[in-house]
Amino acid sequence: MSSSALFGGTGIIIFLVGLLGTFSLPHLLKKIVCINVMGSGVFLVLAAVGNKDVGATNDPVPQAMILTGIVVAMASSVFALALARQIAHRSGFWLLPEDREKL
Amino acid sequence: MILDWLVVVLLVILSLTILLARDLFWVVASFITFGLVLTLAWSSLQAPDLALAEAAIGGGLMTLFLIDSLGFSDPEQTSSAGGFPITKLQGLTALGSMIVAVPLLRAFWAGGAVSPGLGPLVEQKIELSGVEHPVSAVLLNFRFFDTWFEMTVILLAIVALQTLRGRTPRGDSLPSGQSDQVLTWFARLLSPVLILFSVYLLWRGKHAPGGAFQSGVVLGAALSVLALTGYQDFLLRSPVVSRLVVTLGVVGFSGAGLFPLVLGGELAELPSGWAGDTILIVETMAALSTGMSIPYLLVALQVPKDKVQCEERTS
Amino acid sequence: MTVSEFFTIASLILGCFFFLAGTVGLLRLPDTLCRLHALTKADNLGLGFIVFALILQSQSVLESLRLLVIWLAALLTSSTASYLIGRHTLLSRDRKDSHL
Repeated sequence: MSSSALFGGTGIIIFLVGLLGTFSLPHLLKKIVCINVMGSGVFLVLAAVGNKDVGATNDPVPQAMILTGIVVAMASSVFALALARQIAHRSGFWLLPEDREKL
Repeated sequence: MILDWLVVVLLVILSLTILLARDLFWVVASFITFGLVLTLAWSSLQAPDLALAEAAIGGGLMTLFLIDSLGFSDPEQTSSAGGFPITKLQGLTALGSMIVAVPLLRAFWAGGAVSPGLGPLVEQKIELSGVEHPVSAVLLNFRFFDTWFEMTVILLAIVALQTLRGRTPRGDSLPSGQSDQVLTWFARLLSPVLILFSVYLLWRGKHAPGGAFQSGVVLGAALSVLALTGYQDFLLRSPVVSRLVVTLGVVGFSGAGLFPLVLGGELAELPSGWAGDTILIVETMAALSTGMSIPYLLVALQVPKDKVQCEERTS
Repeated sequence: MTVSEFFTIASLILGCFFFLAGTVGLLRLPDTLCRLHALTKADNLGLGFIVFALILQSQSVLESLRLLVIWLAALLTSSTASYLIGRHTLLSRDRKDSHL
């Protein structure tokens, strides 16, 4: 199995694990972490697509896009963390209101 | 090859730990480790720029923000944060994900005609771009738009965080905690080295892996170390200046992007012959503003300890 | 197998052994302070052995110097971090008298 296929497959699996976590874990911090995991899965797939076999140079465009993606993911995660903190600060729980009712 | 397989297995195990762990600290620690193992994955995929950025952001900055948030949460809530509650709906979703994974994986591995991608095209045009490293050329010239709006996103995040925080009586500040001699000494030893390293990365981006973002996040780490160990002057003493620095990235990119319109050219058409110098100036501004944004985000993330009434916000 | 290859492999195995020992200490020792002690010492020594193995295989003096600087930086950060964790543990133990 080539390096690109290996990492691409892993990216898909990681994306699905993150997706599952985002929608089923009630704790907001865990949700944010799982969203980041999803993002990392997508980056792996992108990089695997851009990776060429030994001999040809690698495609720099997916790498540049992933670089942009990493920084944007960080900025959005910080925003999400701030929103989650505000929820926790005002209601006392790191949970969305609908999840809190279920408790 | 063995290393690739090890990295892949570790990544999957760590992502499952993040999904299934009950303790919040386990989730955060696994995620940080996940970021560091991902750095190895980028190295295996021949993407040194990504490895640099992932090491700095995944291993350093996200750690900072997540552990800060962890410290904010209640200790009792942390350990009983609710594991993976297996309800019927979620069991079905898990099964559905596994079923979806199979055709996705097969489509990915189908092979077939592999397109050469944009690599050859970038190589053809790289002399026109002003830099020698293909990823930097793509980031700062060929896909100027993406990077321009990336700087805007960071600025928007800061604005959004400050808005959420509302007006604080004493301005921007970080709780410096108990200042300790060892920590202070460590910060004084480490930050000049980090700042020097960030300048080196910025310069290096022209011909080797490096560039504005790696440089910016290393600078951000240096400034965060300073801010957290009590040297908050650069944030507190002149808030106007620090806010101006944060906007430099957007200003630089907008200037370089819109100025050619004045001269009759296209949007973001860097002047040929001057492209390299323009890129260096814009990169420096971007690195400075990215670096300054990190402690700013950290400061803006803090919620004042006293209870905030909703009525205060509307006044 | 040349002499340098032999020493490289030996150093790598020793380094991995020390890392393993440190991890076992992390998992099996009872107290935070005990774990810190085992982890910091064993991990730094393990890293030292691995860096030594890489230096034996390096192509230039500059590369060896870089590896050495990496080891020193890791030493510095891990020592400071473990000092801070230890201090925090001690202070909260004094404060709460918990089972830390």
